[in-house]
Amino acid sequence: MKRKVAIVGFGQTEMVARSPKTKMELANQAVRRAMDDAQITIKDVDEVVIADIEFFHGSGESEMQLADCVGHYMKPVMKIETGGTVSGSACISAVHHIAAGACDVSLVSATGVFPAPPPDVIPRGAFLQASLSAGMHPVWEKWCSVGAIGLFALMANAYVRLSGCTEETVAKCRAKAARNATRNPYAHLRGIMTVEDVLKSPMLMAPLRHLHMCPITEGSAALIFASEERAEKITKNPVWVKDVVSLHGAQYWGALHEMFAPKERVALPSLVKACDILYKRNGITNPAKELDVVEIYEPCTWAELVFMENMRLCEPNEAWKLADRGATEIDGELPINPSGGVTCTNPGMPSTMLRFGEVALQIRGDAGEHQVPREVRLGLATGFGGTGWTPLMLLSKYK
Amino acid sequence: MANRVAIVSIAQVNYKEKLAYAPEELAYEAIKPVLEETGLGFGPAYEKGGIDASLQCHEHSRIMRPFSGCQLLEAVGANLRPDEKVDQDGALGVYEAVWQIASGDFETVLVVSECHDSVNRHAGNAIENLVFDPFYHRPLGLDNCNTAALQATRYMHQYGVTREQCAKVAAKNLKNAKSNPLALVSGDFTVEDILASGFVAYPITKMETRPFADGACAMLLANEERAKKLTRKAVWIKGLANCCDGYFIGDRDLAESKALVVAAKKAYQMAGITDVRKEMDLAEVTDEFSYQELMEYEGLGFCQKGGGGKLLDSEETRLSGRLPVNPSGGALSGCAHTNIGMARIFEVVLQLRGEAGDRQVEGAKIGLAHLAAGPCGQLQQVMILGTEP
Amino acid sequence: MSRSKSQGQYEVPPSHMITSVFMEYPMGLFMGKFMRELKENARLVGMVCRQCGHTMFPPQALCSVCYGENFQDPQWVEVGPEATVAGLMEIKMPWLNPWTLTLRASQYPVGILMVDAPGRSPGVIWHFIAETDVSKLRVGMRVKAVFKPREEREGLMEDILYWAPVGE
Repeated sequence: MKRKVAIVGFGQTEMVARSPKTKMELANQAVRRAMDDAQITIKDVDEVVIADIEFFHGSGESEMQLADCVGHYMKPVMKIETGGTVSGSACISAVHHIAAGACDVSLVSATGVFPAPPPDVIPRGAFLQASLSAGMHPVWEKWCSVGAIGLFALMANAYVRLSGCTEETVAKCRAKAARNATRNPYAHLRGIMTVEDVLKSPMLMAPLRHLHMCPITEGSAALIFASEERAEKITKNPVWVKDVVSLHGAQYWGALHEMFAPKERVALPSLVKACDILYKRNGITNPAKELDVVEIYEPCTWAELVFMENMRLCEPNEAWKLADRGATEIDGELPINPSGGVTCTNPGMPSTMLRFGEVALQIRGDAGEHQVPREVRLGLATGFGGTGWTPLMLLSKYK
Repeated sequence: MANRVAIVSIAQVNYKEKLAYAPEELAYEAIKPVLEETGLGFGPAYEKGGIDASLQCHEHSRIMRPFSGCQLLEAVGANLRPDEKVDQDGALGVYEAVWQIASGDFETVLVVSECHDSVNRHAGNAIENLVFDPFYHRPLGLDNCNTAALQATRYMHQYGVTREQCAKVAAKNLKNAKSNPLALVSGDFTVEDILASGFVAYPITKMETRPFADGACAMLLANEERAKKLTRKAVWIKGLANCCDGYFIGDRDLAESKALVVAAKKAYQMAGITDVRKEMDLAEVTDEFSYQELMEYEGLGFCQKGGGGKLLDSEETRLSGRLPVNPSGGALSGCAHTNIGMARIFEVVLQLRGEAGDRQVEGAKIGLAHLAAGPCGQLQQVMILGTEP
Repeated sequence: MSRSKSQGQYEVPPSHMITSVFMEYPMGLFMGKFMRELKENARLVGMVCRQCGHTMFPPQALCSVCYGENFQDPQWVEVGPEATVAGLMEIKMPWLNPWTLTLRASQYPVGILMVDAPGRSPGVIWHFIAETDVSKLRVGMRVKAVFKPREEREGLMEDILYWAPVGE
């Protein structure tokens, strides 16, 4: 791309199940924290990119609603809405804007707030599942409403069948995520979890248990990108965006044969292909060795294992063995999701941005208690959403 | 502007109602001509030579369906390829595509916007009501029309613009629309006809509002090198900018177009325009409500503040005038919601290619395409297009 | 929310606004034909892409795999009525009918079914399997669509009651 771009600021709110704050207040808090992190003011921000699916908030045209609290009053704004990948796509959009010379400093904001009827009228989880199903085809898929959970249950079944992965390993992996999340002051589910806790958690759709799935969280995050020249003036620790790749999918969930009815290995096609393209373009031949940290968007613990294989961090059907021997722990040889990942914090819209931002924190050495204890030079963050779409961002300490 | 980007192919469909077609089928009616004209296709991701990426504009909250962009995935060749989804007017999609190309990441981008206004025609104003603040504004029953009426009355009061002048905008545009095959409403109407067409929200009458439509618009944008190979009639994007005003309409002086002035200034600077009145050959502005066009004359610098009505009266903005505005007939002749701004770009490109038939503005070389989106035009975008890079 | 005046907080009674928002989603030329065949003839129809042979079920004008167009002379094919079970889900959590927001109860598990189809890939559908005892079901078994009687069919997926296991 024509100009180099760096991340200069990252801010997030404490992630909770039901926030007492309004969407506007949450968005504002995250933006302020991002600006504090970058040590700039709103005057320094040239433009804003909003990532939002305001249907879940029961509104419309949220880029208008957020004008005063995110700060694009009298500035350019754009709104991206792609599905679960939304904040990742918005970050990629900001990178394009800066690389093109449209502006020098771009602020990306994403907020997830999910109002619902009182729980005694309709159970919250079921209501949110139904509103997510509103995104499916009105006749073909919506009536059945099993959506994402069903698909992941099938994926998990296929993974067990093909790889011999044990329930205990998946429980270990989930316990790891919980342990990491307790060290992340912003994460949502921060309690210590034992393997027994996970194994005892109620079954949603075998073998997918309640604790394997990501929660529903409310919170906001903001990332600030800047051009090379401005980034070096703003901060001593810019995190350089080495590459961005984004691939989308087909209209129906049914197209994901390789995920739920695979012959040899479970695969999310867009992730496999996106990583192939990214590695090739950047001369990465051994990702497991060359990447110092990886933040994967894993909608459930099983997906963390499957996606590791799709990203060629290990051989197919081997990821669970790596996880089993602790290789993916914070201090392991291949740290995966030191932030706790999406299974511990899932505010929906900001979820992909949190992956990008967490890799940036790791590269800066700013992740506090959940800092990976080694020099982090290169990190990869993935997003997931829609009918299996993938945005990737490769971040580096060096230009 | 460095990293020059051009629009190399365009197509648009516009119908009163097309519920027999699914969104992808309707969108394809606009995409197919672009694919045929350019001879390009959808190749493997990140391999150059074809259409490198696609970009869809689809407004999910209007049809109560999150990730509504997934309906168009097949039509835009998005499976396992890059595809961005902008949840705003197609004009913002074009804006985004320009930066995607100028960044160097892609050489060609297909921008598509599709909208079935028919889907929510029985929802009353419930959809537009959702844009407003749930605590203070929704219970008032606010929607696009009555907030536009608020702005119209404020603007008319402030500058002495009359209802007749607003209606004249509709008369002018509907007359221009007679030679636009995409128009849904057109004809020779008098100011009296328009004022008598029944109130939507005082002072706005039915004929002073946009008739709803089902439509799609597709454009292929390319970088300089590819554009020169793909067409001899490339239309270059010389300047573009958008600007967002505050949200609460009570915080704004509705008689002013602060955001438009900022956006226009930036776009003119990029395009090297110093005297827009002299240098502009034509303009397509958002006329979702007739009074808007008068306000836009002022915000764009075609006349002094408050002089919109007088400029219209002077007939300078007629099709045969010095600076024709809305030769296509504008949104007042019928347009789907997501296409309002993109249809304006479409017309300017058509004019600059010399393909506008009976409504061709002779010798058009530089054109302006404008979008006003959001409550009372909160978000304003200006794009300057020209025949020379 | 605290009632304590010293903290300056007062409980606000909840307000609700119930708005019906009536949407008419267009099914289109191809899904439309699928629904008509389902309603009128209790038949499942799909398409095979003329460009690459990929089975398109549900039928659609443009191919997901090769992006090829199938508007002109679409290749309609009958699919099913039998399918192979590719996956099973026994749903133990409450879920909602998204049209009415009422809690659904079904004693039947949902399966992902690979419907028999010509063309180089199967058609995929999710639907109920007519067997309440999950232990009797397994991936790979064969099932057959059972339709509602003509007068009850509406052109929706529920026109198929369930898919019943076919004898081994």
